[in-house]
Amino acid sequence: MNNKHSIKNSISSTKKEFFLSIQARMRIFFGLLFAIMLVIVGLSIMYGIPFTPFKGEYRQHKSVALQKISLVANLKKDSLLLWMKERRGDAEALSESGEIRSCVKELSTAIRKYNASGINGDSLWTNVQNEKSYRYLVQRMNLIKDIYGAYNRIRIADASTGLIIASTHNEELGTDITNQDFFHNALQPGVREIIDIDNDLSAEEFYLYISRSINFEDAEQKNIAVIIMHINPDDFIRPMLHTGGGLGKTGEAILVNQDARILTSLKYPLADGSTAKLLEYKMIDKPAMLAAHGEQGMTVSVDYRGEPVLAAYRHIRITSELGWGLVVKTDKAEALVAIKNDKISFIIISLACVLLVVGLVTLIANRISRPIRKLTQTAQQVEKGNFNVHSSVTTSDEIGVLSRMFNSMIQRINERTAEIKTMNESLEQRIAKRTAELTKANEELLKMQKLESVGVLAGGIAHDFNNNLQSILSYVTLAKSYANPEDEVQEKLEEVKKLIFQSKSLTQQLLTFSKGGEPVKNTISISKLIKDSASLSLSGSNIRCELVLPDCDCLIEADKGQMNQVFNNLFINADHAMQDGGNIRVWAENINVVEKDLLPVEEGNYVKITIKDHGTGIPQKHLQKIFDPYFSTKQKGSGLGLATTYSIIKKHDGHIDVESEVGVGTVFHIYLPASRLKTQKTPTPSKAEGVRPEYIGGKEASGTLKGKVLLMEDEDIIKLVVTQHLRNLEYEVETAEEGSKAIELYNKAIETGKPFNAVIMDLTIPGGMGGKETIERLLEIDPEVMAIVTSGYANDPIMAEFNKYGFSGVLAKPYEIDELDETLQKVIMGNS
Amino acid sequence: MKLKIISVFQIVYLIWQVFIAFPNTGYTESITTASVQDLSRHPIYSTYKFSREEGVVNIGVQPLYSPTGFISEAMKRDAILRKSLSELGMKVKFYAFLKGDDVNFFLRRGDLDVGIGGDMPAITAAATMDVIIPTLVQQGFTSVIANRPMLIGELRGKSIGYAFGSNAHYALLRALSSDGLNEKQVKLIPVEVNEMPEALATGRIDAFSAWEPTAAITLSKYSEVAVIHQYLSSGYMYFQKEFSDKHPEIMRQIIAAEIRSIKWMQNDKQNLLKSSKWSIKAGENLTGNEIPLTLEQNASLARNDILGLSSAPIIPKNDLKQNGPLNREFEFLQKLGKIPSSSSWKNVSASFDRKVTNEVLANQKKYRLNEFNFTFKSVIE
Repeated sequence: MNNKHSIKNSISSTKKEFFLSIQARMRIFFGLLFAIMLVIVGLSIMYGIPFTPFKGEYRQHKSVALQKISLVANLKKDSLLLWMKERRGDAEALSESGEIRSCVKELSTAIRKYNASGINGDSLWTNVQNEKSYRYLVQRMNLIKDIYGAYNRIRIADASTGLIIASTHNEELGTDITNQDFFHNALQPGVREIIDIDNDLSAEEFYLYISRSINFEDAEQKNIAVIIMHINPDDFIRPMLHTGGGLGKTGEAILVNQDARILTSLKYPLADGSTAKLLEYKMIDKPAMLAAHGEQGMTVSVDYRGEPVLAAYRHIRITSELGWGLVVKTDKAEALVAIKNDKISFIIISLACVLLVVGLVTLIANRISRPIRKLTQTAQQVEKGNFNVHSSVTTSDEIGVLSRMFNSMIQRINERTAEIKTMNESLEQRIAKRTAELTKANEELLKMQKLESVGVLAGGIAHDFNNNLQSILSYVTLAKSYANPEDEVQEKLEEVKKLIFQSKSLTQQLLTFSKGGEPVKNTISISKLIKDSASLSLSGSNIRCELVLPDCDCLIEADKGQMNQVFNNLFINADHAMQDGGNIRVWAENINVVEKDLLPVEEGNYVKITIKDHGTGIPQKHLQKIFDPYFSTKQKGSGLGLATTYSIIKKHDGHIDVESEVGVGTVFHIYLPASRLKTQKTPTPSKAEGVRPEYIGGKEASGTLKGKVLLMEDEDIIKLVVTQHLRNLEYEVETAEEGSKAIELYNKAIETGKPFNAVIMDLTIPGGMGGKETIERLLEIDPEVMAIVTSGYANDPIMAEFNKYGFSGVLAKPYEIDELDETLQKVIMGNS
Repeated sequence: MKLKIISVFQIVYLIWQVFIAFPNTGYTESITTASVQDLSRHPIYSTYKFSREEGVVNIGVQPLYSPTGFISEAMKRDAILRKSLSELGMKVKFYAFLKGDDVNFFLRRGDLDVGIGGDMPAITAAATMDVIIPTLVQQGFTSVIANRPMLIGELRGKSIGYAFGSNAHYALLRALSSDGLNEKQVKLIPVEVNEMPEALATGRIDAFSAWEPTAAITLSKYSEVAVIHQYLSSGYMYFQKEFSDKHPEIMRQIIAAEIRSIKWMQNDKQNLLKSSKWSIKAGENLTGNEIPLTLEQNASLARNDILGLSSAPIIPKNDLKQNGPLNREFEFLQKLGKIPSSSSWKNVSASFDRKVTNEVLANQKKYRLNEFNFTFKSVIE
């Protein structure tokens, strides 16, 4: 069913396409146009052009046919009139003949004698026939009858008795015709001749009578007899009307009387098949009626058979009393056969012409549409995606031009397609690469987010933890000072201190990769940094480090400590990966990073450091996690090493990535922003490094003490232990719980002329003025104030960039006495 | 597609039909008011001085109405008539008219005692006046002539010249009705009978209806024209009833003159040609135009009509029958309103009196029907 439907649709579509094709449309258009033109021309030729003298063949033919039939009718009428004239002439000749008159007189006299002698009946007429006059009369009448062949009979009746006294038919002698119109009308005064049609006395048949009186020659012209000529119209007139041609095959001449009753037999049976009877059948068709009523003309009508005919009708006036109608007709089909033939010829010629035109148009259309079809087929191929085609149309006309343009277009499309293909491939590669980078960046971001979240947590923990460690350290330090130096407790306490600083290291690492721990950057040589770090980290191991470093161009802006931590971690990891020893190859180079390098760093100059080991390698599944905090495959690993490394590098606006293959080794690539300084310069003493002439000269340590120090600390135990340590270190110490007290003491010290040499202040004072606000106030009081900031919250930005906030030194809790002393001395001495 | 092709043919066919049909929607014009014209101001008739004397018989004739023109011209010259009338104390004067309706106009006014006119004027006269119609003077064809051969139906919308109230008017109406047309479907233009040939030739009219010799003149002059229809019409001599009642013998003498004239022309071709010459002359005098017919042609026309008949000029009995030609004409004209609806066929037919002529014929000796003297110098009044 579906197939049928599909086939039907396909056929319908093909048909539609065919009718929409140029060739079909040209054929239909020109064929129709020509056909219409032919129809118009044909109709014009056939029926004429309205409002012009050209009336057309049909009218002309019809006119000619009508004129022809009219002419025939005139001829028939003239013939009939002439014939009638002859017949009347015959009657006149007989009636006016002296011999006839004499014979009639003689015969009448003889008859009267016979009557007088008592001879009547058949004997009378037998005797009459023997009369010389009778024989003469009959001879003359027969002569007339035979010569002209137009009479059925001729008779002479006695004017006084009305009896037939002479006749071409002897048997009717003695017949009384007194009551016959043609007899007594002929005897009317002034009337010489009667012509009429009437039934014969003795038969049903009717005759045309021409009766004429035979008169005496005297002045009174008294009637002697009447001569009557009998003519059967059907016997004599009809053949005459149908001779002479002009009527054609279907033509017919019909004679009717004044009532339109037929006087001559019809050629055809009536519509009902019967035969029309003479003088009974009345013609009701228009021509006959008109002719009978005295009209003459021509018309197109329908005859007694119901056939369309062209007819000419004539009125034949025989006497003032007697008139006949003559209808000469011929079938329209025959009369207009010429026009019919013309029509057929025209139709055949027209059809032939239309076919010829359609054929020619087809040829022309083919010539026009063939290249178009070819071009269309080529275009269809192109539409289907086949561009390896070529239009073969090479004509020099518009289509040829179009074809060449088309080919050129295909060529250009091919070229463009190839270009696009190449571009697409490139784009795909770039997209793939970019996608990979984005994935990587996303991973980086995730790592960062992880680190940040861990950092936030770690920072908070580390602050309190460091503070606690500082307190523990303070207590341990205090305990150690109370204990006997030889006591075993000293050793235990020292172990406690080690643990405290191990804990500090742990918190330090936590803080490093956390949000806090901002690097304190200086311009440093990467070469020296790597050498130092390698020698330190690989000291005592069976690993040989091959360093390929540039001379002095690889300068970076970095936190030396954090960088040491980075390289230490990497070298230690390499060492661990190569249990059986081996080479670590390290090289550094200056590179310029551009966008297309697709590195997750800003464009610019970088120092790229590559560390390659030949260790066990990292499985692929671990590669994505090695920079995650607390991810470690080592049993004793903290899981913070590479996380810290990663965090440090990111905080230096750099990038680290790793390639590894299990069993082959691992390669770390580190990108660090290059310093703008081209060469490492010998560090010039900074303001901080320089001796504060003023301070060193004006703020001399009082007495023998190293200096006067103000300690701002809210934790009592720390305050107590640090104060003690400072005093042990020969510093004069005053303490304050929070900032306002510290400011007060600082002002007081200035006022008393014994200003503090340094201020150690905790960054965070719960419920009181912290270090940040206090230093701002102190700097207002004394712009040259020397302050050291301390905090267990080592990731605070102030701790990283203490100089920016006006501090001269920094101590991250927990700190040792030595560290305190060293920092204090540097600050006081202007070496921080 | 097939529908489109059919539609195209239908459109062409319809356009064609419109073109073909357009001429048939032509204008129509009813008969003009010629019938109510005051013919006393007519350029010809206004010159006539009708005699009102008691002893004068005023006869209106039509020289351009063949063969009545032959007969009337012969009658003018019939010395026997003059003598007979003179013996009765009467004179006769003949007045020439262009058509029967004009004769009727002056009959109606009493200017004429006797008139000669065709069947339509005669019937009209019988229907509207008190007249007696005793004799036939003509039986011939009135023709409708067109500028080319055509059927009557093709006259639709065409201009047709006619003479109002004449035989030819009736013949035209009959012709039109024979093909289903009426006078409203053509443009009827009143044209004087003598102007018709030229009007047709110049294209002023497309056809006209006229009697002889106008038809013959046209055919002889213009070869492209054609007789497209003919109607056998009759002509009659009719008398004011008052006159005939008062002067029955004078009426008979006039009828005898007619019979004599016919016989005289029948007896000898030279007589006919003489009459032909007289009638042409009379016609030319009436119209002022030359009649382009030879004597032979003119004579031939007359011979074809009543002069060709051997019988006497008795009104055919058949013509007066119910449903006979005169009856049909009466009813036709009455239907068209050409004659009053109040008039009856009975009265009209009663006006036709065949007895008078029969009486004259029966008294051939008395009325000198076989004596001929056409030597009287005709005076055209």
